[in-house]
Amino acid sequence: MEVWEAIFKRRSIRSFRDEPVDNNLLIKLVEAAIWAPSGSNIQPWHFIAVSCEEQKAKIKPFAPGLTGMPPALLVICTDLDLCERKGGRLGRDVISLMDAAFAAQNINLMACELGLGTCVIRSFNQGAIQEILKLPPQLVPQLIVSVGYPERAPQAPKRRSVQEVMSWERYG
Amino acid sequence: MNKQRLIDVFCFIITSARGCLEEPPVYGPLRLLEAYVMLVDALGEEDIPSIFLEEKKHIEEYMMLCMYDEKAFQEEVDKTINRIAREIAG
Ligand SMILES: Cc1cc2nc3c(=O)[nH]c(=O)nc-3n(C[C@H](O)[C@H](O)[C@H](O)COP(=O)(O)O)c2cc1C
Repeated sequence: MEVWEAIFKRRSIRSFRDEPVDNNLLIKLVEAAIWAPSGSNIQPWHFIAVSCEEQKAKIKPFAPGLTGMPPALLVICTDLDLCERKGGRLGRDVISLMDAAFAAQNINLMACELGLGTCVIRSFNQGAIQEILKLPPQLVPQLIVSVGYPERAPQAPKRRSVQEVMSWERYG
Repeated sequence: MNKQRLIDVFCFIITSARGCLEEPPVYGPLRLLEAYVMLVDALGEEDIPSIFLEEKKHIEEYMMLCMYDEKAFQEEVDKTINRIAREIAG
């Protein structure tokens, strides 16, 4: 699949077929994630794959942004201590979030290529997810990516046009 | 009644209360509708008047509209309220 096609085809998928996602595919998604750009190449991430029904059921009520029950979740965490040690305050406050976002987009695009659908989720309670996943305090869950086989291809939500969002040389 | 589902609704409502302090305002109505859907599921269909079951189905279909089309979302919620009020008015 061409990159352009994946960029266009990728949608946030919120309803999935009742079909498990093979662990090797989840590994492949994380492999794509670790090749994302990383501020100062800190690579502060840790990915937790969750496909056990019991564990997903514990996460769900603390993640209001998670629609339905996807076959798998990839929880993207970043190590804030490592970010601060290697990247200072910028590392802790900014790079920790941005690296998670770049990793998530690599997961989205790779999933698209593999015929999987994803949805990036931020509406969840970080403290609660930390408890459920037994994360050490410095490892903060930044995004949850739901993963599964899409039930249907949703309509693309509207985009602001290039003309509206782009300027040359200076604003306006 | 499914006790575990009811407990999930409790957690969902409290988590949403916290989330709504920081999230886009339109997520408030969405979370309330989601909690309604979860409550109906938790309580079980037997004890619930049919209008609420029918509206649950509608709500499940349209609730994500709030992300893309707030006006259409508002219209759908209005329709739901009107149908329920009409039923209650008799
Ligand atoms: C940082 C971020 C957080 C998001 N959080 C949620 C979420 O909690 N729940 C959800 O259903 N979608 C979430 N989304 C998905 C967006 O709603 C979605 O990307 C947007 O509506 C555009 O649709 P598309 O991804 O299909 O192009 C999030 C997206 C991003 C980038």
